[in-house]
Amino acid sequence: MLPAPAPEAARSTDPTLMPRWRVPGGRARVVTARAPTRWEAEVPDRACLDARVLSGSVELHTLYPDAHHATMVAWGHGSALIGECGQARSYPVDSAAEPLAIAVAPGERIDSAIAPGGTAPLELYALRGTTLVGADRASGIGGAARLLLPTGADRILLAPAPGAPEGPALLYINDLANDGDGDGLGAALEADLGTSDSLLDSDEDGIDDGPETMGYQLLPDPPQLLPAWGASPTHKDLFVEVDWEDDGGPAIGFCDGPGIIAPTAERFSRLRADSIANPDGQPGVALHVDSGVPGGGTTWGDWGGFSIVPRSADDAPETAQAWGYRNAFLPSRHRVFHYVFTHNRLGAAWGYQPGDQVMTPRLSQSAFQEEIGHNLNLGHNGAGRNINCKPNYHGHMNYAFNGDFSDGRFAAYPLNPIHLDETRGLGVPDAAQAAYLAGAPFYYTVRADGAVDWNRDGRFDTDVRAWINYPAYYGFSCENARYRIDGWGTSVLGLMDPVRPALGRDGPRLVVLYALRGQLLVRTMTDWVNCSPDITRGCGNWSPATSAGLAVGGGIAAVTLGAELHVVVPRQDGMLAHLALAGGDLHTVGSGLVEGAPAAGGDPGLAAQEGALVLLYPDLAGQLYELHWSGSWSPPAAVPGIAVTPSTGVSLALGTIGNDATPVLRAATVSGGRVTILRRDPGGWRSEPDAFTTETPDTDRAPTIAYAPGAPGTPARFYLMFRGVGATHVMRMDMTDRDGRFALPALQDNIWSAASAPPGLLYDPVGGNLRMARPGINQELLIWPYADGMFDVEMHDVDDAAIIRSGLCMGLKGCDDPTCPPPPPLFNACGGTTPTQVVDWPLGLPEPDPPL
Amino acid sequence: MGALVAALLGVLAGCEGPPEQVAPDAGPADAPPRPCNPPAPALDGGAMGAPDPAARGELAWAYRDPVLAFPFAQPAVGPDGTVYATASIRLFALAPADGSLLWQAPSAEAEPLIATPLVDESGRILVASTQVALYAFAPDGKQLWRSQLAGGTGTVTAPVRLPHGFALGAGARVFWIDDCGQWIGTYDHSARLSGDLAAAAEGTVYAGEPGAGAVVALGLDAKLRWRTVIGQAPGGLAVGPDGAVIVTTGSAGVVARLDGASGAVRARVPLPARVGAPVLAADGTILVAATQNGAPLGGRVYALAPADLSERWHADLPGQITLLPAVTTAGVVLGISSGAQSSLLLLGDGGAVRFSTPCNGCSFVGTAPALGADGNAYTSALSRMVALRTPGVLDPRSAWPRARSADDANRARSLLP
Repeated sequence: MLPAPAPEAARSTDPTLMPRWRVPGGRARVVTARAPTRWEAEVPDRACLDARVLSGSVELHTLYPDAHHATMVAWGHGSALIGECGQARSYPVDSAAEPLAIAVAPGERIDSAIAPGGTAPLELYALRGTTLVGADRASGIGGAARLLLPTGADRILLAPAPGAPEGPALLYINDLANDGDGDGLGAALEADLGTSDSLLDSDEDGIDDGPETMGYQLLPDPPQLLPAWGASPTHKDLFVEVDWEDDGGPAIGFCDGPGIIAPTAERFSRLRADSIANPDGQPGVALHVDSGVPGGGTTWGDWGGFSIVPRSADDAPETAQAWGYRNAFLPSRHRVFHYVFTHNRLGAAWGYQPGDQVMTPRLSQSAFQEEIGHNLNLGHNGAGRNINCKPNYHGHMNYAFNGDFSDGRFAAYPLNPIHLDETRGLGVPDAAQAAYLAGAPFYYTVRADGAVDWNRDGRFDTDVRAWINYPAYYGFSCENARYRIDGWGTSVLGLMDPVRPALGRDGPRLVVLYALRGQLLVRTMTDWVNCSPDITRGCGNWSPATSAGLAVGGGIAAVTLGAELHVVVPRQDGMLAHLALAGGDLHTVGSGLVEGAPAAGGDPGLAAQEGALVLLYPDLAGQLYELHWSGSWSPPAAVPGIAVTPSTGVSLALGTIGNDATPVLRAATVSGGRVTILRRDPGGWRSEPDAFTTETPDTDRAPTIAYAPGAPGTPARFYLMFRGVGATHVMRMDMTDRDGRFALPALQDNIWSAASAPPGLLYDPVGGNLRMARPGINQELLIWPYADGMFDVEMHDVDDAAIIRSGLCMGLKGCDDPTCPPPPPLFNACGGTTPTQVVDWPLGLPEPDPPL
Repeated sequence: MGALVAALLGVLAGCEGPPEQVAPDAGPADAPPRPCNPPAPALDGGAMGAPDPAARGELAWAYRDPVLAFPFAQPAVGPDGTVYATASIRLFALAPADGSLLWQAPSAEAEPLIATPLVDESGRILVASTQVALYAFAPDGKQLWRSQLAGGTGTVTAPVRLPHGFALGAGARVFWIDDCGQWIGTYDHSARLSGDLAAAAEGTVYAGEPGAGAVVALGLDAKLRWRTVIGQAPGGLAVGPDGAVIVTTGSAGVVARLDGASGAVRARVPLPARVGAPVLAADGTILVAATQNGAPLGGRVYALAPADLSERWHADLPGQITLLPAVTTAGVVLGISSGAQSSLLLLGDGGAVRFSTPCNGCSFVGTAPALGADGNAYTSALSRMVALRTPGVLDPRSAWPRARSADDANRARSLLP
């Protein structure tokens, strides 16, 4: 009979990983499970077993697990006599194990749980006085010990089972008979933990107190050791399983702990204490990621869930994700964990808002955090009005920023694009807090006192209008002019042909002219009525489409001259038609043709200058012609030196540049495939080779230029929009700086904002906004009434923690689960039973910069 | 530098200007391509210092763009040492000495660029985009042309260099483009192709067909030369100096050697591991980065004999191989990740570790490094590009189409000793 082999080296207790309970030294304890000295013996029938303390401070107990075996355990220091009566011999006892003096009332259960970094399996010895009244080995969750004691006890020893190392463990005295909320925890225990006996989920994180305290197991799944992985019933926890789509490479694609998980966890940990409302009073949500890689404490680890998901037959990550969610995500983890499917592909990131599923590139911290944020019910706006890239919403969910979630520090000072006090900046006394606006992607001028030049005019004024969520960086998706878009996501305005439409004004009517099935159609509107709180939904009272009875062969140009809206458009035979709209009456002008003009080979540009129309357009050979109309058309004048790319065309805008009050007529066209800006000088048209401050872009249709005149608080500016030359034709836009150069490039809306035709633009003096008409991705007619981003809506900063407080629960249980706390009043995006899948473009998101 | 750029621009002048655009839904234009002269080779930069024999993987520099990250970037090195890498929608050119930004250029309509640029003999930088387009940039960042290819849905490959042009794949389709960016051929396979292409010196293009576990060989005439079923989905391809095609099969662990001319399987071995793309050393040894059997966080490098794929040696490493091997004059450079830290390693004879230097915050991302003439190994590290000092340069005798490409400029073709 020999002592059991010595277990592996003891595991130390890391107090920073242990749960915080309300009552230290109460019914919940972190203990160090130390091994007693054990002997196992076979006891034949009627055999006499001698087990006695021989010397020292040894305490010795004997258990009989069955009729034929005995187990002796001892702790303290000294020796014990053990063996068959008459043949017993002395054994040394040298154990640091020491029972914990703690009262256990009759009928209470002694529970244990595996601690973070702790030992398992566990065994438990309950003593009353010097009598051993009960023992258990590993009958709890995941190898924890538990013991229901009818007799009560006053000392407990929690020890590692044979072979397990010494180390920390969690011990609870559970007055189970007093469990008021049915979470498996008695009221007295809950009082000591700091949880509520009337709430299943005291910290409102969507996971009940019982599993967070003890772990759980739903067979046949393996046990889920939530406490060992860092769960606390008094602090909000966020459990995530990460799986990976096999990329066929030599390394398994684990989610990078130091590079991705750790910074994300740190950001979650900093959520405001007052808003996140943890029962333990601490800030933050604790992120725990089962990444398949050990060594991350309670932030990440190999907890049995990581799976390599095979590529699907269609090679679509969405298919593999769906397969993984069904087959590689344990059923018992649903409603407890979030499922994050990672892949080694470009792009392809989304998260349900709210929900428990995410797909994200494996190597993007930014997307990892963003998509989990969506799961917790955060939008790109945080909450409130659905506006992305708000400059005062300085949080990670905002496409413009990477970093912490917003703490709402600017919430008390909303920004309204049409009334901005630049001298107040972000409305906080600490000027340094506005400094971030000087960097990417906005590049605002920020004065030392925190004033912000919102309208980029080089001045700091007290009442200006500005497109404040416009990123001056090509590649950012800022979804930033979405306000009352008619036709958005609906068939309200019907379809249109892939031909440039035109906008104009006919007195009180805003007019859109567009082509459908080759016919010129006209719609008008006079007001926005019965508008939805959903700010992206349009509410223009657009008339039904009426046909002008003209077969259209190219893009449409329109401009107001006098009391009429003049329209020039190529017919299908290439001849240019000339019409006018006045008082709602569309009629031909003169013969109805631009007389004497060669057939058009591209879209025409039309402007009004000094009481006359100016028409500029290319013929079929790309030769530009200029004509004038003031009652009749001048003969066409060929413009030398500029060859227009076939199938493109021209647009015109008249405006001023800088402090020079002399109007300048500028044209946007395409030459050699490149967007080309022309300027009309007294000597004729000339190219502006330095019109762009960055690279000269390409397009394959006529670019559209427009001019918005200056007004008090609004600098004059040219706008340029055109579609890309790739397969999807993403829309780009540029704005000019004070020198009239196109220095502020951006995506028009976002990466999906593809268009089959260039837009029609109008600076509308009624309201003073730039309006835009363009085909949507499904060929629908879209009207963006505030294409310059200047609309009367307050943009708020939001404390993300206030959203996450409810979103954490909703992500696991759904928007309408009554056990989840209600969302804060500003929030209006959660409702119904179908979560929204928010698709992101992770390659446009900035990434963090871990220290080297 | 300026004179070199001017010289390069001079030789490139014949190819400037956009090619005929091909509408994605209209099929290639019927008009025959214009005559296209091959670009002249660039002058050797020649100004870079030699590697420091005492270098042990120290960080030389790191480049961090204020907006975009380099999560997938596999850089390429130009003739003058300039480091080219893509991040999201932009191509970056970095100075080899200090990583300073020389220029950056966006894609035409904000479409992501494929992570592996290619530098051709003239110094032009070729990079594909997710819209199945091929871009050519001059060494000064000027976009020379953009060739929009017709159709092809699925993952777009990096381009490979061919005699007088390039090839790239998308889904089940492979495209051939001449040196001036003109489309010259398309091959439509009956099933999806996967992984990056490999190309032999004479222009045969090899691709994997994962559904059937096959390898296909395509001629310069855009026709199928052979198709061989090896039974497992190909993950990586390399072409040896003798024209043999070495195939690895990712998680299936098979390494096979095919006859380049006929596709016949000459050797086939299963390894008890996940295996990366093969890398060919100067003596023909095939190096395969792999996992350790039973240790998902352990790495192993296999060295296999080229003829029968028998094992010459293997080296077990205390981390997954997350920076794929590159054969240098000083040994094999690679990177590992233990799950908590990434390190750059240099392996000597028989796989002996000559140094292992932690690179804090590097987080290698599964690509292969490019190597400069000064011994710097360039790679992406999540949000950054980093340069790590090594004592060797790319072994010029080593034909090593590596994970996604071939030589230091990612030309993805066999370079004969």
